[in-house]
Amino acid sequence: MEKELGFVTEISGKMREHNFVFSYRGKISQETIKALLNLTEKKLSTEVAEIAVKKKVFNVMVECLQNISKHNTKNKHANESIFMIGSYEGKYVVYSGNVIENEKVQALKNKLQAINVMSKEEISELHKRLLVEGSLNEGIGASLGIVDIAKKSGNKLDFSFVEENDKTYFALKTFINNN
Amino acid sequence: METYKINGTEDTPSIILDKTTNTFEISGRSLPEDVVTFYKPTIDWLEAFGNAPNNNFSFDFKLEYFNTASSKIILDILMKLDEVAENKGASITINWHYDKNDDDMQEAGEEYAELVSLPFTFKAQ
Repeated sequence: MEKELGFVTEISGKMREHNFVFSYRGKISQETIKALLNLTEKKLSTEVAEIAVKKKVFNVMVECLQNISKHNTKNKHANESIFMIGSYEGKYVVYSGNVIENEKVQALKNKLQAINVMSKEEISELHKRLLVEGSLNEGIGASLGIVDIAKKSGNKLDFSFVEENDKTYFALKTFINNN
Repeated sequence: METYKINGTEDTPSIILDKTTNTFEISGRSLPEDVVTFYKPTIDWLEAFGNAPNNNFSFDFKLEYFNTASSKIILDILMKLDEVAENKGASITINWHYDKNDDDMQEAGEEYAELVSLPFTFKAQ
């Protein structure tokens, strides 16, 4: 019995190692998002004095989660989505992961790489442009979401794509400090 | 013209659109997944109001959080008001409220102010 439950200690150890405030794995719907926001709010209000950081964490969290939930409906791997928040000395790291179709990898990778070489000013300009174009064209929603995450974070986005047969696991790590 | 008023929830804002008392306000959190459906009554109301608007009014945004989907609708609302000001000669001021520690919300307001011709008043709390 003790041996079989070893994974609990293992997971707990991993969470401690990465300073996770909490982690979630499963399907992400608007209801899940509301529950996770509630939980985060309770956790952060006891941990963070800085309202600005808390708001950034919240905003990045909503964009990551809604990006995932938007693509959930026709995704048979929706229950493999993951979301975690790590906290370290008043700084926060938001992790999200979900299964995407292989053919979507290149476009997303290009987008992320393009954003990562931009200056703060260039990101602001792109944000503005997408906001204006977006009100005319609904198709670019996810791009504005990613640009918004980069803008709020103020740091380079860390990402990985792990291909597994007919699907790819996309993971995004967003670092948030008060800047 | 009938007043449009809804109370906020944990992911949708409170909205008051009242022609009689000259009160126009969106406050709280705007994180709905389907923003188009949520904001449809607001857009429709403003469309009708735009035909015979009040001469002089402020539109208050008191938002705590909004998602990027909402950010596009907010621009749509501002552009609609911009059109009303231009076509009907209404004098409209946008009051953009934000928490004094929330630079992102202040920046969001400044971004909108650059995109429309309406005057913005920034109100830090």
